[in-house]
Amino acid sequence: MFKDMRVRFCKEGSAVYFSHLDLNRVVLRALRRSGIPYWSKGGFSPHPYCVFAQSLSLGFESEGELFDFRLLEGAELDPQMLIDAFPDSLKILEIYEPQDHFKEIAFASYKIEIETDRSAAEIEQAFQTPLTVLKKTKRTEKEVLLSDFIRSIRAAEGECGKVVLWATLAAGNEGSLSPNYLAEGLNNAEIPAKIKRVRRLAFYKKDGSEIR
Amino acid sequence: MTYNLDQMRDLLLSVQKPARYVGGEIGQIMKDPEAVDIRVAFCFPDIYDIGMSHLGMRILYGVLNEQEKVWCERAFQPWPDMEEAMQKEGIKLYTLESRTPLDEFDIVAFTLQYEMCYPTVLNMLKLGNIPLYSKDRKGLEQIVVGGGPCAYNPEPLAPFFDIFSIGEGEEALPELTEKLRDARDRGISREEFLFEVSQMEGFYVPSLYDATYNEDGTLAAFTPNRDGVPAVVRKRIIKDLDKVYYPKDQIIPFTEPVHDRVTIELFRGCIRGCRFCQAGMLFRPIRCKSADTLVKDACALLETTGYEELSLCSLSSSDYPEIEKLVDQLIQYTEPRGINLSLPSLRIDNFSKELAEKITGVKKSTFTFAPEAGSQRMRDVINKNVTEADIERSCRIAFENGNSSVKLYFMMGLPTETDADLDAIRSLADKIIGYFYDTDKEKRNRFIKITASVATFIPKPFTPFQWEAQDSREETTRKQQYLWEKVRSKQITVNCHDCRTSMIEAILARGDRRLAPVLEQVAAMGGKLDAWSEHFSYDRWIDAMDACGVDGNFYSLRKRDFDELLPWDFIDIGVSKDYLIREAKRSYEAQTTPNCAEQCNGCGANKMMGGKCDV
Repeated sequence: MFKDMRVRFCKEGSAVYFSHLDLNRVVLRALRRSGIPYWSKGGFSPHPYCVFAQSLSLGFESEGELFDFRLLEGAELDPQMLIDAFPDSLKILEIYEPQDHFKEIAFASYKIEIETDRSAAEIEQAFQTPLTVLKKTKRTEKEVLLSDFIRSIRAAEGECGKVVLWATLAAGNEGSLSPNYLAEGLNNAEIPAKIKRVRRLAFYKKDGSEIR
Repeated sequence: MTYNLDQMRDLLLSVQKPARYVGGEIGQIMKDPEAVDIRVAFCFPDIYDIGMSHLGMRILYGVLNEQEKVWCERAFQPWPDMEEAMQKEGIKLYTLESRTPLDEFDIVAFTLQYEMCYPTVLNMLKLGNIPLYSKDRKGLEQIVVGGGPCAYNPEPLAPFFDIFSIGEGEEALPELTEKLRDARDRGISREEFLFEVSQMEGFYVPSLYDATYNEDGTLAAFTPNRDGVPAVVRKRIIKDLDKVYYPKDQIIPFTEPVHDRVTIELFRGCIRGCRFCQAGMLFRPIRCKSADTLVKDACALLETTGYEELSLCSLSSSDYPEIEKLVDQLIQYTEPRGINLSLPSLRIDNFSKELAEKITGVKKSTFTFAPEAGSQRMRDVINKNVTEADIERSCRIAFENGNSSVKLYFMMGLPTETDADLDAIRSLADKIIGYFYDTDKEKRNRFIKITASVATFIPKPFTPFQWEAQDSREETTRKQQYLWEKVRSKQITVNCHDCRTSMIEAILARGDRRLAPVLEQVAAMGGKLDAWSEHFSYDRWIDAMDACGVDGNFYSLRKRDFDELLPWDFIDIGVSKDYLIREAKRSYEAQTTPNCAEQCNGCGANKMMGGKCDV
C-alpha cells in the first residue's frame, strides 16, 4: 500500500520562531505542494500521513529533526520535488527508508550555549556533582537528579565569554529532559547560568547508536 | 541597514507568536537590493495575522514584484508586546523580507481597508521613523502612498500622505514606480514629482488642493492650488479582468492566519445597488472573470500552495453569471483531492437548490444570510430586494440539507427606521424557526440555532445614504436594549456591535481635513489597532476631539442637503451624484430599484467601460 520514508531536516533562521503545531502545518502543506506521490489516510479531509520524531521547543534550532511520511506503493520519489517545497529555514538534509521506529529514541544530543561567569572546566566539574531540579509535568512536580537524565556532557569555551555544552540527554519514553533544566540545575547549586541558544543535533537509541 | 535575526533572538523569544515578525515564509519574494532601484514597503495597518489574509495585498505584492527593478516587501503593525520590545531596543519598524527599516524605502504604501485603521497608519509611520506630515519629508524617497476603499474619502488623512491611489491598483502602482524612476533620472524635486503624479489618472496629491469652509462648518470650496492640477480625480479600473495579473503563488504563513486558503476573485462591482453599501458603488462597473480563467487561477494556486480550502470571493457570488459552470468545474478538481470549496456572499433570492447541494456535498457549514433588515418596508428602503418568500425558500433548502445553524446579518439605525422595523427582526426569526419545524424530520437536524448579528448603520461616502444622519449614541443604545429584550430567546442569539466604534467610524468615514489633528492626537495618546476591541478606547477619541476643538457629531449625526459640497466630491467613481440623489429620494418612498442585470438604471459607471457593463 505504501512505503515509509524518513526525512531529516534542519530548523533554523526564521523557523526557530514557530511552534511544533505550526511546524506540523507547514510540513503538511509542503508535502501537499511538493506534488510527490504521498499516501494519505482516508477520511473527510484526507491529508498526508506524517509523523514527527519529537517536538522541538520554540526558540531551539536543530539539524537533526525527523519526520516520516508514506510514499504510494510503487511510486518513484523525486527528492528534489520535496526539497523545493520546503522553505530555506527547514532545509531537507536527507531522505531515506527508515530502519528504526521513533519509539526507539532514547536520547538526543544538543549544543547549548550558556551565559555564565564560570569557566568551561568549572561548569563541567559542576555536572559531576549531584545537581537537582524541580521537574514539572502537566500534573506533577518532582525533584530529580540531573545525572539520571544525562548520558554525557562536555563543556568548552565558546565565543564572547559563553560556555558551550555538548550534551546527550534522555529523550524517550523512559524519561526525557529539556536542556532548559541544565541551567536550572546549575542555578540551584548557586552557579549563575543562562541558556542563550540550543541546537538539537541528533537522536540516539538506547544502545547509543544514531536512529536510522 | 538591516536587522539580523540572531541579534533580535532574545527579543523575539520574549514576545507572543514571534513567527509574525521574522518573514522567511514559503512564497515570499527575495531580491538582491543592489539589483533593484525602487524599494517599496507595502504596509498593512493591522497585525500580520489579519494582513496576510488580505487578497488585495497579495495581488499588489505580486504585481509590483513582477517588475524586475522593483522590490516590494511587507510590513505590519506589531502586536503591542512586540512594539514595546522593539522600542526598548531601539528597533524601527522593518519589512519582513529583508528586515530593512521603513525609513529606508522609496515608497511606503498603505492599504486602507477600514477607517478605524487610521491611527495605526500614523503609529506605523512613527515606528518606522518616517515624519508624519507630508510637508516634513524630503527628496525622492519616503513617498507615502495610500490606496484601498478608504482612499475614496482620503481627506482625514490628507496632510500625512503624499499620494493617494484612487481605484484599482494593478496598473496604477507599477506606473507610479516608473514615474518615480523617471523623476529620479531627471533629477527633479519632490514637489515637481508630486505635481506630475497629480496629472496621472487615478492619483490624488492632497498637498495640491486647498479646502475652505463656510461659517456653519460646511465645505465652501475644494480647489487645486496650482495650475495644471486636475479639479477632479477619476478612479482607475481594470477593464479586462481576464488579462490582468493574478498571483500564481502566494506566501504561506508559518502561523495560521485568519483565512488560511486560496482565494479567487469572481468579479468586481455588484449589480445590486443596496443603498447603504459603499463597495457596491465604489467598485462599479461590474466586470467578470471568465470561468475558464478562474478555474485556471484556482488550480494553479492550489497546486503551488498545497492548500486544502478554496474560497470564491466577490460581493455577491451567486450573481456570477457562470456560477453553475464554475462550481461544476471546480468541484471536478477539488473533490477528488479533498479540497473544501467555500462560497461566501451568496444571496438568498437566487441561490439554487443545486448549488446548495453541490457545496454541502463537500462540507457542511453554517448558513449565513444577510437580510439586513427585518421588515419588508425597511428592505425596500435600502433596496436589498430580498423578499420573505426568498428567505423562506432558501431556509427550507438549507434545512433540508441538514443545516441547523443560521446566521443572520442585520443593520440597525437605517434611515426611516422605527421600532416596528426592529420588531420585524423577531418575527422573521420566528418564521425561520417555523420553516425548520416544517421540514421533514428525516431530513432536518434536531435543533435550530439562529444567531442574529446586528450592526450599527454607518452612512458612507458615495452611497445614496451619504447625506443621512447616524443615530445618536443614546438612540442606538436604546434600540440595542429594545432589540435585546424583544428578540433574544432560547433559539435566538442576538449580537450587537459595540456602537461606540461605529460612532467613531461614522465620523471618520465622512470626515474632512480638519480631522487630521484628531488622528495625530489619538496616535500620540497611544491609539492603534482600534479595530480590536481590547485596544479601542472611545474616551481617547472623545478626548482627542475635545483637545482639537472638533465636534464629531457634525460629521456623523448631521443630515446634509443634497446641494452641500462634500469632502469627497472631487473624486469621480463613475457613479454620478445625480444617480445617488435619485436613489436617496426613491428610498424615502420605499421604492426599490431593479438590479443591473434586469435593467440599466443609468448610474453612470458604464462610461468607464466605454458604455457597456459586464452583466
